[in-house]
Amino acid sequence: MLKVIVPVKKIISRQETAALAVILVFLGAVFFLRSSHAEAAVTASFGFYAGYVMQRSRFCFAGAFRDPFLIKNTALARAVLLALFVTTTGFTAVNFLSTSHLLTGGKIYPVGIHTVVGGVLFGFGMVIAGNCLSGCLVRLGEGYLMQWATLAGLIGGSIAGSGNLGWWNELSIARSPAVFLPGLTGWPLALLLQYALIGGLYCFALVLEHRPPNLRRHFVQALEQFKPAAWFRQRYWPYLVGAAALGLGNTLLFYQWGRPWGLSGGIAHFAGWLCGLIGLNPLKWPYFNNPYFYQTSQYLLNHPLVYLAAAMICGSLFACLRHREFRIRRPRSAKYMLSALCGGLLMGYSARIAMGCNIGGFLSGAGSFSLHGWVLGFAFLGGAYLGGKILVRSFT
Amino acid sequence: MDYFIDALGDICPIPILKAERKLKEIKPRERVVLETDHSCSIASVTNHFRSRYGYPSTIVEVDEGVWQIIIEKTA
Repeated sequence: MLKVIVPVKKIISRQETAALAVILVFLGAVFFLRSSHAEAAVTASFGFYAGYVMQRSRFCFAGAFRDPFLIKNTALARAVLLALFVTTTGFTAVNFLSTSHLLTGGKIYPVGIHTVVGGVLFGFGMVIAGNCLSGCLVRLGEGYLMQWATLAGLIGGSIAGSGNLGWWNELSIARSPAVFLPGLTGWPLALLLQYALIGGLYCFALVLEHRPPNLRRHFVQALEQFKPAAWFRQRYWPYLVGAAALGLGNTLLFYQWGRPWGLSGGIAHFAGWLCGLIGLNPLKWPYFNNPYFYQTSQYLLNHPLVYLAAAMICGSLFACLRHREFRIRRPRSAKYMLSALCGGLLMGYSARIAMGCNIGGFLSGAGSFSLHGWVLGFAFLGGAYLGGKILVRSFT
Repeated sequence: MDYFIDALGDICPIPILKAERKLKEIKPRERVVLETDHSCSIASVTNHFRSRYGYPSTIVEVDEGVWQIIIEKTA
């Protein structure tokens, strides 16, 4: 039962006019990109969509990993599991029915100590920053000032991580196997295993929140969230609707582009470009001189993921203005800025050494049936648990 | 009686923790009014108190991007 009271307003606010301007400029940019950089036109379109969906559904990966510990709430965690379920199903279908294949385009990377260390640092970082990498971009579009500190941290952390990657490569990455589950067990068993893990975790999350859970009532309620009336009545979409939309979008991106949704690589390439501006040569760093790490012939600002990240900010800005929610949002205290900066630094660094963030590493990684995605997800939980302890101590 | 909590500029999960602490202190049928400019809060706060405690919430939009969430302690 949720009532929403909205005051009587002008028929068209300045924000809605601005929203129209944002989408027109964006469509113009995509039209221009189609002829000059076709890949970027695809990733930017998806980025805009993902930013829009995440803003409308208030989707939050940081909350998904933090709230089960902090407030015993698993609504977001279950939504992330649904996104993973849709991604898994979609990727499998695309793998068999189209020319995009997981073995060549999927996020399948080595799993080892670097995955665990990176995952714990990333989980810790996203909780103290208050958002993950994708959340940071969405918040920038909503007018938060705090996330500019996170972005600065992400850029700094990415530089450190890209430069330091050689050390991690020798210590662990080069010695660790990339495990593609269907390659190990065959497709039917891998799919079954993946679904069993997602389903098992979903039920475990339910038990954690409501014991004993009423499964039948729960699924009836969950399905009701997908009735359009349920989301138009509210000021925001239910988490599960956002999750399904993100999973479907990721599938379409994989189909169209041949590679799934990633983000931290885009930030690293952008950071490399910035370093190039001030006279450094990032192409000497271990991240950029090993084709294994960047997986495309396009460097720095030409990397399609840079466009994807920028478009996510635009998509969120559009969603926010369209629904008259934009505002310059100042953090309550300077402590938040510091926390945001430190979180950003940790996330930027750890995304490089773990070879992906919550999106490319976990969602698209586990969705590509790579063991490193799953290990990363569990390591996030460990880091988020620790981060939650620090957060509560510092801010309440 | 209504208890006002100023959570402007606070981000998740701090608004939830502030409201939860207050709701534990107050008597049944009293309400907490949480003012926030954090867009995620209108989803996360209302969802949390509905699913975990069964407390109904009302969201009042007081300005563009600022909301008051009124949570009633039903029992």
